[in-house]
Amino acid sequence: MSAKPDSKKVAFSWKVSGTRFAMQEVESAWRFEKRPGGWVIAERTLADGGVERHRFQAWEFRTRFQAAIEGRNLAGEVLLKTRAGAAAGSGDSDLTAQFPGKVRKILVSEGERVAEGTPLMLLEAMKMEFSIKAPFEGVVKKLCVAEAQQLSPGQQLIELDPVPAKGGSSE
Amino acid sequence: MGSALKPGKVLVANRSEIACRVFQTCREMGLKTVAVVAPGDEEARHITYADEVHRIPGYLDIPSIVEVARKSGTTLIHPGYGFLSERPAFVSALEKADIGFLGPTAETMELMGGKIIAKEIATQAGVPTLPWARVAQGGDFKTAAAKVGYPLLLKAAAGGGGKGMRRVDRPEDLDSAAESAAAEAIAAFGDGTLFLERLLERPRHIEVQVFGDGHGHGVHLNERECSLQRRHQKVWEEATAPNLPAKTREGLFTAALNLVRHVKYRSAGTLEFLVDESGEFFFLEMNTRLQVEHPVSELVTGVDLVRAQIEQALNPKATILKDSPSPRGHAIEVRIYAEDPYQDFMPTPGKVERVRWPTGPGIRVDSGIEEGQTVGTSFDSMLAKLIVYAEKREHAIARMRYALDETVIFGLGSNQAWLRALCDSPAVIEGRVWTSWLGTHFAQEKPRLSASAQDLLVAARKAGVISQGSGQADIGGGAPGASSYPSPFVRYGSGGVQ
Repeated sequence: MSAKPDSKKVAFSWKVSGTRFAMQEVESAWRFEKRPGGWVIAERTLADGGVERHRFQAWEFRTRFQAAIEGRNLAGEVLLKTRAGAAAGSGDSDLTAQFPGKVRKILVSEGERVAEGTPLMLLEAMKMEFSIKAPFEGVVKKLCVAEAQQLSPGQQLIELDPVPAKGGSSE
Repeated sequence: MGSALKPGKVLVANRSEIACRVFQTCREMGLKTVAVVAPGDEEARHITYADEVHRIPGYLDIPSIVEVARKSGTTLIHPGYGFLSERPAFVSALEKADIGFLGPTAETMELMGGKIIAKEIATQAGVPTLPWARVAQGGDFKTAAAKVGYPLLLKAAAGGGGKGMRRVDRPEDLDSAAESAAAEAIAAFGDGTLFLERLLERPRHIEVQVFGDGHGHGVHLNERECSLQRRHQKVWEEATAPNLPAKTREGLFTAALNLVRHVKYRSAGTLEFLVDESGEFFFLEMNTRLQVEHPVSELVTGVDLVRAQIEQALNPKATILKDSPSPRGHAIEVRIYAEDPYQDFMPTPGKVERVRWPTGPGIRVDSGIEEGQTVGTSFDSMLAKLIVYAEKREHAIARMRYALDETVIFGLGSNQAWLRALCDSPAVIEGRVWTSWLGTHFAQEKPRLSASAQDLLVAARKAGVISQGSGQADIGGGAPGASSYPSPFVRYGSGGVQ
């Protein structure tokens, strides 16, 4: 992926369910009114003199940012380091146990090269099976867990080295 | 029959939203209520709903529940769905202890709850079924599968709810599918016996709600369409089914009532059918309990199924529901789960920081959560059921859009945005879906956010109008402030970068 020149400044990057929204810095004049019940009314005057109006709720805690707007309740993570392009940074959290569970099966071995989306292991939680897929193309550096192992949230599952793209930098 | 009611005390051997739903009717009827709570579930909502609460080691612990019932003077037990709701051993234990059960007899449950016997009975009653076979763990799958034919479905012979289900298209995929299905079946039900069944292409899942008096009289409360499922877990249910040929509907009702009469069914139950593109139907199985999606039938018929169950139990010789009620209007239910549909439906546990439910005409919320409660991964991830009712189906869909727009759940991720997107899907609007449609035709959707909304949120953040969290939202015993706190929003899988 080539790093795009920053034509507009990114205020923060918001990662919602694997989709990253580059939330751009704005100059526009929104007027806000906080209402009982957690609602916020936002208005701005448009060029044609009309008024754009939204009613929404939003909530933020640590790196978590959640908004109920336009009929969508979006739960995401604010990535403060808005490094353009590179995969580094978010890779690790994709390969960490997010909830208690158990390793059911490991599908790759150390040193194996995997394409993006390759299933790496199967986890069991809430009596269901989930597959952990490679978030990017890479080489399996280390398996941090064993089959049948119990997992606690935050535990690293696997270390994956990104395959350096042409002239790629690893940081 | 209401005048004949004897004073009673109802224990719900279940948790969360379904326990609350049963307690509501009990309270309306002036009956005392007893809740049970398992370790790790102390924050669950149902605990505050009952007149008394008792600790039990687990929701599957029959002796403890019977003991609590004895100790508390319980006269009736409602099993809810899941857990012990379809365990004949539980009903037998209650029958021995002379405690009423809000459901069928142990004998009927044994018959109809067993997928295989149920099919045999269906065949006796002249109801068509799909080719099937049953194989014990380690048994000869190849021969059985060849007899059934491909594509086929593997599922746990015990239980339901989509646990242990696998689709197998070719003989060479059979072994690995059987292995993992058996493992899931053992984990969920302690029994690795698998059931093989022929799979129809693009079938609809239509089920008939029934109610029997236990002496051979039964009524139906019309059908529900539950074709929108993923991994055989329903997410959207309707009453009645759109675009169902009148002949098919009549056939379904006749078949359902034949079965109900044949087994002298008592209380509420559901017969599940698959309907193919020509309108031909096949009996799948009977759920001998109240179902998750029962509210849609209640809304279109005006019958409170839990009240009917209680009245039938208190007046065993009477016929509580005499005639099949005609449906009026249209109802839709969606299930709000703590899961991320955009990332392989990963669980999204966390602390519920804020809840706002929709209000207004035609809206029912069967909620299992409270603000401030932590939703972990030890129990079912369903947070609530959002149910709407309107005169016409298209109005019900519009109402569901409104209801979802008004719903705010902060602190943990959910499938809410995905459900909202379903309301805009042409196939859903036109009622042209089948059981695998969600998995194959809808899953690729991504979360969307307009440029205008992005702009607004950046400005709102700067202006300081965004609510800040409580700081107590940790799960899994993590200390507040610990930097290693795992965000419930970061998920594995499906190309999380870029």
